Amino acid sequence: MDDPSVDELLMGDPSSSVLSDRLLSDQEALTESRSYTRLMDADLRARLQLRRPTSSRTISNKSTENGFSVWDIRNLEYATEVDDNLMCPICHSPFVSPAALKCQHIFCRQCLSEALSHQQDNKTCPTCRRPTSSNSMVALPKVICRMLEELRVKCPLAFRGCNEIIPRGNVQTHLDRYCGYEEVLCPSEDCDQYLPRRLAGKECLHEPLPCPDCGEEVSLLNLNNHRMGSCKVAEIICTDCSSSVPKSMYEDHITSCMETVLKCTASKYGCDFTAKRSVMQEHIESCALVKLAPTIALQNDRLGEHARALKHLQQKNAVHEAFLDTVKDTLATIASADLATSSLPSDSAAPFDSPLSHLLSLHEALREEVSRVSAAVSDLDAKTDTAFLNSSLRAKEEAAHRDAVLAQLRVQLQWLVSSRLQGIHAARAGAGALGISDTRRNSNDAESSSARPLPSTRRGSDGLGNGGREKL
Amino acid sequence: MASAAAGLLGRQLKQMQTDKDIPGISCGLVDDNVFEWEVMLMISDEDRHYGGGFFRARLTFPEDYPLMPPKMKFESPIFHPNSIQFSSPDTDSANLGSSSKVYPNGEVCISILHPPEEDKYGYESASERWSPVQSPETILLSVISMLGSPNDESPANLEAAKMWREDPKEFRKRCRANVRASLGDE
Repeated sequence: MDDPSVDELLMGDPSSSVLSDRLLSDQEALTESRSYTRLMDADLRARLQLRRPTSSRTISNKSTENGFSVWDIRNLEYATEVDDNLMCPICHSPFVSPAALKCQHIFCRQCLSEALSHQQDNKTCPTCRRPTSSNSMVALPKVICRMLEELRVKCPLAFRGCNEIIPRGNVQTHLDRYCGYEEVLCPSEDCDQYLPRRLAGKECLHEPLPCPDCGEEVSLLNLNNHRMGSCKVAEIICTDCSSSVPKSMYEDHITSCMETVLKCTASKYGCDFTAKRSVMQEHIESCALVKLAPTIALQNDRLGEHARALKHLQQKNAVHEAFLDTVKDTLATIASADLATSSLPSDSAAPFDSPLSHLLSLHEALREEVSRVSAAVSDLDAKTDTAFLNSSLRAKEEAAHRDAVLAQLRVQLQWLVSSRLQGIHAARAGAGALGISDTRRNSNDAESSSARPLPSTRRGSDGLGNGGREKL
Repeated sequence: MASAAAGLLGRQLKQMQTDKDIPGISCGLVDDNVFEWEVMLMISDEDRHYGGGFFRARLTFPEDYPLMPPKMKFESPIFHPNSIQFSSPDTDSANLGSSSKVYPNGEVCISILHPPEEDKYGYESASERWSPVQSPETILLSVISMLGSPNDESPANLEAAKMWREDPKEFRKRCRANVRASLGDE
């Protein structure tokens, strides 16, 4: 990560003045050589185009090809969160030169054609599986493509230390021209090696030089790494006691340097005390928190254990509650089914607190129903009574009328019979003398009997007239 | 090419590990290899047969993922019409019919895990097979739903499929035994 800058290279080497002078002059040369660099960049780009067709940028951003970074647009890290709707459903990264199918599903052009090429003869949309063909792809409007190219990404060389955030469309330009961490061809004409752009001056940094400490041949580019790493002799200045310590001893030195400022060992439990190591021992012996530290740690462990147990129990509880809810639901559905079958005319929808109150209210409703029915029954009774009375009255009158008619008929019959009898008697008187007195007597009888029915006939006709009128 | 798949898998794994909306699925890598996932399926209690079980499975992704489907294999014993049962080799060969031999033990046989261009079994139409828009998440959700309602049309475990159809009680018993075993593994 830490590629040495020119300044670091300079500072790390106080002893070799020759080298530092050279580097200083190189740094001045760097500013002068901008135009040269630009020329070189143009040259590089031309070479890039030859070497690297744009479609083959699909290798991990960790690999380099002859010093030049080869990066995969799908592995770029986005600086901001990208809307989910802009994600290709196949590669799950924001669309790269998107293409749409007839069914309006959108994919990266490359993803889509690869997916279609893996299908059999009947090509279908990967999302909705509607039939389609590889030549029915339609590019998306330029506006959308531009917006996608403007998404901000981190430089693919972020792992080397570049902190630039750039629009996605400019990544190649950034790498080709500006990124200080991109490897470029060494400016020296004799050298065909590469070095980070930010270190590229006029001078070749690959030339082997003796290490000022151990004398081993090291290139200037690697000098700092060498002195920090493999060089056994180089001395490091302790930042605390400012004594220079050989690198091999340095590890031991930092853990024992008396000048190092330390925090109290109980600092995580609230002790703010800081002091040099030489004084610290005294503090530790008197600090109450240090003495408490083991207990506190134990307590913390226990608390953690309890929290875990609690979490476990809570999860269990949640499961049980969910179960209880389902049980309640089923009970409620059963109760409502009961209500529906009982088909009460009123109040059936009212919620009931308990089965008992439910039954009580049912009972009450039924009682009301019964009283209503009995009232209706007595009403009907009265109605039928009056109707019966009315019809029987009429029948009685008719019967009386019939009686009257019958009596009249009987009178008439008697009169007719007696007149006939008189006729017979008269015929007998004409036949014998003895019979005259009889005839007279009979005729008297007939007269008296004929005199009697007349008024009764009149009365009968009257009665008849009355009956007819009544009938009308 | 291979690293495009690796990048995609890395992103999907990260997303699944950070996503809190997926209940009952946890996943990680086997030997830090992004093409080998170890997943743990926690089946919800509502499932009649496997409810409450913890089943370990392994997803193996091909180099050309997502164009080709991953393979999924249960590592916990599971008795199910659509996954080859763990059993000793002799019963294994006795149980398995012609097509099922293709799979080693525990492998899951569902249509969305079958590559799009071939249909060895002639059972399912292309519309049910792998599509690159599927993700590990959708696969695992399908598998969980497969556990709840097996597809006995194309069984991988003939015995299980037969029992599922003809003797549901015994089938359930075998499943509960799996669940208990999976909890014992913990």
